[in-house]
Amino acid sequence: MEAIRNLINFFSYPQWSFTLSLVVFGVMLWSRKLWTKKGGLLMLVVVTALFCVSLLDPNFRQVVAKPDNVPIVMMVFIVGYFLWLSLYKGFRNDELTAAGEPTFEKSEAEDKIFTWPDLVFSEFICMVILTVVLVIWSIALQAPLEEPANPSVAPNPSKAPWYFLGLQEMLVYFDPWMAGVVLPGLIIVGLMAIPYIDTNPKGNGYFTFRERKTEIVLFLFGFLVLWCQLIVIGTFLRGPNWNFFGPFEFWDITKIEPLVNVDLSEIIWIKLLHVGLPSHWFVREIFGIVLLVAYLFVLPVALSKTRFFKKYYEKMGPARFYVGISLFLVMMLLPIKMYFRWLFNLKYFIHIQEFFFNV
Amino acid sequence: MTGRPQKKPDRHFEFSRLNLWFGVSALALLVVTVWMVMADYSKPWKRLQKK
Repeated sequence: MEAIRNLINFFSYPQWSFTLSLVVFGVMLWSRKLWTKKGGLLMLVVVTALFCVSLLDPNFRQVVAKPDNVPIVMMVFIVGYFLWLSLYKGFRNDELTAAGEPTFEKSEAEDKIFTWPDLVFSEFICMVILTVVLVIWSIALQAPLEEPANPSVAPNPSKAPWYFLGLQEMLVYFDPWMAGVVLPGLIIVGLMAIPYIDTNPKGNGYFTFRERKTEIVLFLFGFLVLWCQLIVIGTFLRGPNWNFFGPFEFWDITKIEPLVNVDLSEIIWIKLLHVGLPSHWFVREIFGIVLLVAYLFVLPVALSKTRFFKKYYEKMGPARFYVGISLFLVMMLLPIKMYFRWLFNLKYFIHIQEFFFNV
Repeated sequence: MTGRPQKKPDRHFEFSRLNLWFGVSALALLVVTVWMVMADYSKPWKRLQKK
C-alpha cells in the first residue's frame, strides 16, 4: 500500500502529471466508447472508487475535506459530467447525421410545451431542492473563518480564491507581470475574440464532435489541461511555501526545495560559450529576444505555409488567421515554459531586470 | 383504478409526480429550516455570551 502511495505521489509531481494528463486527454478523446452511457458510468465508478479509497489516507482526507476545498472536489465531478454530456451528445449526433437523420436537437425543437406550468414548476422544485442542499451544506461544513488578521503572520500557504489558483500556479513559471496581467488579459481577449475568429456556423445550436474536431480539442486542451488542471494542482497539491506535495504526502512545513533556476542568457553565455554575461541588457538577452520574436512573429508565417494550417489560412483569411494563431501560440507558451523549467531549470527566456521585463 | 394516471399530451411532465416531488421537497425545506435555526441557536459560545 505504501509503495502504491509513493508511486502516486511521485507521478503527481507536475512534470509527470502534466505529461500523463496530455496522454490521457489524447486517449480519452480518441476512444469513442468512453462517451456512451456505459462508458460514462464506468468512468464515474472508477473515479469515485479511486476517490473513496484515497479518502482512507489521512493526508488526502485532510486536504479534500477542508471546507474550502469541498466545492473544488464537486467541481471536478461536475466538469467531468458536463464534458461527458457534451461529447456524448456530440458523438450521438454525429452518428445520426451519418445515418442521414436529423440531429437530436432538431427533432427535439419540433416539440413545444408551455412555459407555465411545465418549465416554471419544475424549476421551482429544483430551486427548493437546491436551497435544501445549500442549507444542509452550510450546517454540516462550517465556514472556514480564521482568527483576526495579523499583519505579522501571513498564512502559509497563502492561497488565492479557487478560481484564481490556475493563475497563481502560472506564477511558478512566469513573472508576476506576465502571469498576473498579460496572460489573464489575453485569456479574456482571446475568449472574446473567438466568435470573430471562428465564423464557421457548424455546431451552432447542436452538439457535434466530428464537424468541429480541431476547435473542440483545442478548446478542451486550454480549458481542461491548462486551466482546470492548474486549479486542481493549486488547490490540492500546493502546500506550505508553495511547495509541491503529492496527494498522499504530509504537508511538511520544513520541506526545502532548492531553487536552481537559471536564465537562458546564463545557459548560453556562461554554460555554453564559457564567457561572462555581457553588461548591456540587449546583448545579454539577444538570444531570448530573437527566440521570442521568432516564436511570435516568424512562426505564424511559417505555420501558415504548412499543410495542416494552410487550409485554415485559406478559409479564415490572413487577419483572422494571424490573430487566432498568435493567441494559440501565446497559450502554448505556458506548457512550453513549463517543460523548459522541468527539463532545464529555465527561469526566464528574457530576463531584463533593468525594465522588469521578464518572459 | 388503472394504475398511474397518464400525462396529458400537451404536458412534458406527469404532474401528479411533480406534485409529489414538490410536496417532499417543501417538507424537506421546512425541516432543514428548523434545523438551521436550532443549529444556529445552540452554538456552544452562545451560552458563554449570555453569561
